[in-house]
Amino acid sequence: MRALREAEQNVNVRVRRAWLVVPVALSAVVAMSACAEQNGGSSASGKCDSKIAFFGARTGPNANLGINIYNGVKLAVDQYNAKHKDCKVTLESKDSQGDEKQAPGLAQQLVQDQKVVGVVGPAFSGESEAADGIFDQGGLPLISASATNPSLSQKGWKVFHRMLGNDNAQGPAAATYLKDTVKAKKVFVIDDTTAYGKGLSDVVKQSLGSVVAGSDTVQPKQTDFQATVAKVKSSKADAIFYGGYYAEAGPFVKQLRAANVKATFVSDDGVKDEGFVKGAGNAAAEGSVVTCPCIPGDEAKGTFFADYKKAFGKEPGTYGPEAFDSANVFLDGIAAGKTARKDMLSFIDSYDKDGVTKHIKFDKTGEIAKSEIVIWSYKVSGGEIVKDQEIKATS
Amino acid sequence: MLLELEDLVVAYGRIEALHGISLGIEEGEIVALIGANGAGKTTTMRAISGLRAAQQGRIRLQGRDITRMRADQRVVSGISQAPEGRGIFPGMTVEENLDLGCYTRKDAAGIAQDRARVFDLFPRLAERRKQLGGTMSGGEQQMLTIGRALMARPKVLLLDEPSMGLAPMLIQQIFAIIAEINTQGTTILLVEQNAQQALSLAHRAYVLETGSIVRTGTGAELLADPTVQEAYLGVA
Amino acid sequence: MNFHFLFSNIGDLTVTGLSQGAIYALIALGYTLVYGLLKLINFAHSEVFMMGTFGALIAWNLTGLHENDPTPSLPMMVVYLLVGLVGAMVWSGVTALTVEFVAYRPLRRRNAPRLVFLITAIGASVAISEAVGVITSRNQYGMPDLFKTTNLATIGNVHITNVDLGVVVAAVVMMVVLDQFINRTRLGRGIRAVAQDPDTAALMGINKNRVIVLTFALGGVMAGAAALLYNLKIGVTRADIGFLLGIKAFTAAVLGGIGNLRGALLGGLALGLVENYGSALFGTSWRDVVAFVVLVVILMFRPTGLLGESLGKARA
Repeated sequence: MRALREAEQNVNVRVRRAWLVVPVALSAVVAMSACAEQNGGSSASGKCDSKIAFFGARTGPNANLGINIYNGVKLAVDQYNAKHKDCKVTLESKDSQGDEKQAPGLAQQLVQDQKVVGVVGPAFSGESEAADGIFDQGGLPLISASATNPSLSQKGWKVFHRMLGNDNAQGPAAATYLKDTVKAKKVFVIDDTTAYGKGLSDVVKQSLGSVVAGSDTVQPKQTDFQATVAKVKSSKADAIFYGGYYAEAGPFVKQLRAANVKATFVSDDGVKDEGFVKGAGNAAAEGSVVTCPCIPGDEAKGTFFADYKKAFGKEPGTYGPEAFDSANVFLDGIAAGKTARKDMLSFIDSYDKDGVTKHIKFDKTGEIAKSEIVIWSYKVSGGEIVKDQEIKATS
Repeated sequence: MLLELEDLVVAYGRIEALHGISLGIEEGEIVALIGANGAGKTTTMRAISGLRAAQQGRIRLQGRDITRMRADQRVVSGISQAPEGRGIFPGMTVEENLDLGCYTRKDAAGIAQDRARVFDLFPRLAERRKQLGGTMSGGEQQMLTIGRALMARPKVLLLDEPSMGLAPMLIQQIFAIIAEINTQGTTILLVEQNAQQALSLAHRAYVLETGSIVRTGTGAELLADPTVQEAYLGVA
Repeated sequence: MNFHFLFSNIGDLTVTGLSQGAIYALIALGYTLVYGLLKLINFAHSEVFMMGTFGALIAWNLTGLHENDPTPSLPMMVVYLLVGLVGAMVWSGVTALTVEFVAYRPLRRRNAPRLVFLITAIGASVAISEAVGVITSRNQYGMPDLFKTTNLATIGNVHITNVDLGVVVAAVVMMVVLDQFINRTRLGRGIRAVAQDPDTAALMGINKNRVIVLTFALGGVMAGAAALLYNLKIGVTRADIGFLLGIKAFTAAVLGGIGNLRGALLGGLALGLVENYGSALFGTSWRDVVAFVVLVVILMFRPTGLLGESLGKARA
C-alpha cells in the first residue's frame, strides 16, 4: 500500500509524529469532556439514527483507492436503506487525504459521535497506525478494506479488523505463481529495503527455495538501476520478483527492457497502480504481473458488479468489493440491533457469513481467517492492469 | 575641476575613518595624497572608486554627482583605480589581466592602441604576456596593475601606493613611468607613504592625518614645509 | 564480495557507470559554478535539475509528443531532441534565476551571514520540490521514447548502447563548450574575475550582480541539459528526483574539487564508476557506502578534491 510506503520510507514521519502530540493531546481532552456529556444524555441503542463511517482519502494524491472504497461502502448503505426505509443508516465520510497527520483529529471526531457504530477504514496503513489507537480507546469498531501492514493486527487494538489478507499472505502466493504459472527455473529477487518490500521478498525467497538465482536491493527514490540490471542479466534468470512500490518499479522495468532482459516481472500490490505503467511505459510494462490480496470487481459474488456499475457508471476498482463487504458486516449488525459499539464489536468478532469477496470470519487479532484469504494476480496488458487469475495455495 | 570631493565622511560601522574631507583635482594634474599608515588614504581611494559608500558629502566627476554610483559604473564614467597590494588576478595571464582592464569597452581599435601603449610603457609585460599574474615579481605585478588601470582609458587614474614593497631602483622606475603617463595626458591621483617621491612628482598635494586634511599646497611647497619634513620626510 | 561478477561485467559496468556519471557531472557544474563565485552551496540546484526534466516533458507534450506514442522518424526525432533541450534549459534556467532573485539577492543586499544563505538554500529546495509535488499529485511521469535503445557496438562482452554513448558524448561536449566559454570569452573572464576577487573585479567595471545572474543561468542551462539526458536515459520523472541526484552531484563536485569545472566532470564520472563497481562487488545496498567511503578517503589525501583549484584559478 502506498501510504504504508510513506510511513516506512519517510524519515520525516517520525518528526511529524512529534508535532502530532500537541493536537492529539488537546483533542483527547476535548473528547473526554464531550463523551462525558453524551453518556450522561442519551443511550444510542434501539434508535434509528445509527451511522457508519468511511475513513480514507477522497482527495489528494492517493484518492483513487479511497474513492473506490467509498463507493463500495456507499453502495452497501444505499442498498440497506432501500430495504429498511423506516430505519435508515447514515453514511458519515472523513476525507483524510491519506495523510497520517490529519488522521488522529478526524478519528477523534468520529469517536465523539456516539451514533457512529462502525468505521470502514482507515484505508492506508500509515494513517491506520496514527488513528487506530484512538478508535481503540473510543471502543469504535473498524474494518479496513485495504490496509495490509501485518503489524496493524499485532498492536492489541481490539477494534481492529481487515477484510483482506495481509502482506504475509501475499509472499507465498507470489512464489506459487512464479513456480506454477510462470514455471520459472531461475528467479532473481529484488527488494527496495522498506519493511514492506523486504518483508515480502524474504517470504518469497523462503518459499521459492533453490529456484532463487540471485538477489539484490534497490533504494527508495533511486532512478538509475544499471548495476541491478547487469546483475539480473548475468544471472540469466527467467523471472524476477520485485518487492516494493510502483515508483521505483516503473523506471526499473523500463531500464530492464531497454537492456534487453526478457525475464517475467512479478511484483506485489504496491506496484498495482497506473503509476507503474506510466513509469515503465506501455511497451516495457506489458506482461508484468502483480499479486494482490484483493479480488477483481467482476469476480465478486452476487450482483455486486452489476449493481456497482449501475450506481457509479463504471466498473468497481481495487478494494471496492472488500469495502462493500466491510460495510455490510456493520449493516448486518445494525439490522440485528447492535447499535452500541460494545455490542457491535462482539457481533463482528463472531461474524461467520459469506460476503461477495470471500467467506467472512475474523480471528482473534482481527485478521480474516487464514483459510478465507484470497490472492489474485493481475497482468499489464495494453497499458492497463487487468485481472489474471486467482492464485490457489499449493499444498 | 575634473574630480572633486566635498565634506566626505566615511565610516566603518560606528568608527569614522574620514571626518569630512574636501579635495579637488584639475584636468592634467598629478595630485598626491600623503599620510601615515591608517590616516585614511586608502579609504579615500575606495570611496572615490566606489568600493566604500560615503555616509555624508559629495563626490563629483566633471561636475556630475557620482556619490551614489556603483563602482563598476564609475569605471565607465572615467575613474580607474590600480588597487594597493598588487590587486591583480593571480590565476590569469598578463594578457587576461589587461583584457579585464578594458572589460567595459567595445572599441577594438582603441583597445589595441592602448594595449600597445601599455606594452610600450612596460616592456616587461609584453615579454610576459602568457605568464600567470601570481607567478610574477612584486615590481612586475605593480606594473601590471597600473597597465591594467590604463586599459580603461580613464579620465582620472587612481594609484594606491605604487611604491609599496619595491626596491629603491624599481621605485625610481615606476615613478618615471607615472610621470610619463601624466605627460601623455592622464590626470592622476596618487596615494603614497613615500612622501619624498610623491611630493617631488606631484603638482599639488594634500596631507591626511587621522581622517582629516591638515595641509595642502604645491608639491614643492610641502617639500619645503618644516612640519611636513619632520613628520613625513624624516628630516630632524 | 562478488569479484567474479565485477570482472566478468567490468566493461558494461564501466559504460553504464560513465553515462550515469556524466549526468552527475552536468548537475555538479551548477554547484561548482555558484560555489566558485559566491562560496555558497546552492542546495536548490537539485530542484533546478528536477524542473528541467518537467520542462522537456512539457515541451514535448505541447508539440504533440506523448508517452507511449510510437517513436518518431529520424528528422522528427532530431526536432524533438532540440525541443526537449530548449524546454529543459528554459525551465531550469528560469528556476535558477528565480531562486537567485527571490531568495539570494535580497540576502546579499542585507549582507546576511553565511548560515542564513545555507538555510535559505535548503528552504528553497524543499519549497520547490514540495510545490511541484503538490501540483503533480506526486505522480510519476513517463517520457515518450524518442528512439529505441539499441546496441551500437559490442566489443568483447562490452555492450555500448546509443543512449549511453549519446549521454556521455553530449555531456562531454557541453562541458568543453562551458570550459571554453569560461576561459576564452569576455563574460567568462568576468565570472573568473569576480570569483577571484570581487572588489578588484568591480574596479574593472564588472557588475557583480550581472555576473551572478549569468552564473546562475549557466548552471541552470547545464542542469537543463542534464535533465534532458536523464529523461532519455531513465525515462521517468517525479517531483522528488532532485534530492538524491542533487546529493550525488554535489558529492561529485566536492570529489573533483569544488569550484573547478574540470573537477566536476572528473568527479562525476569517477562517482558514477565507483557506484557501479561498488554495487557489483558488494551488492547494490552498499553502493552509497562505497561511494562515500571513497570520497572520504580521497579527501583525506587530497582535501581540496582531485583537481582542487578554485573557479578563478582554473586555466586553460
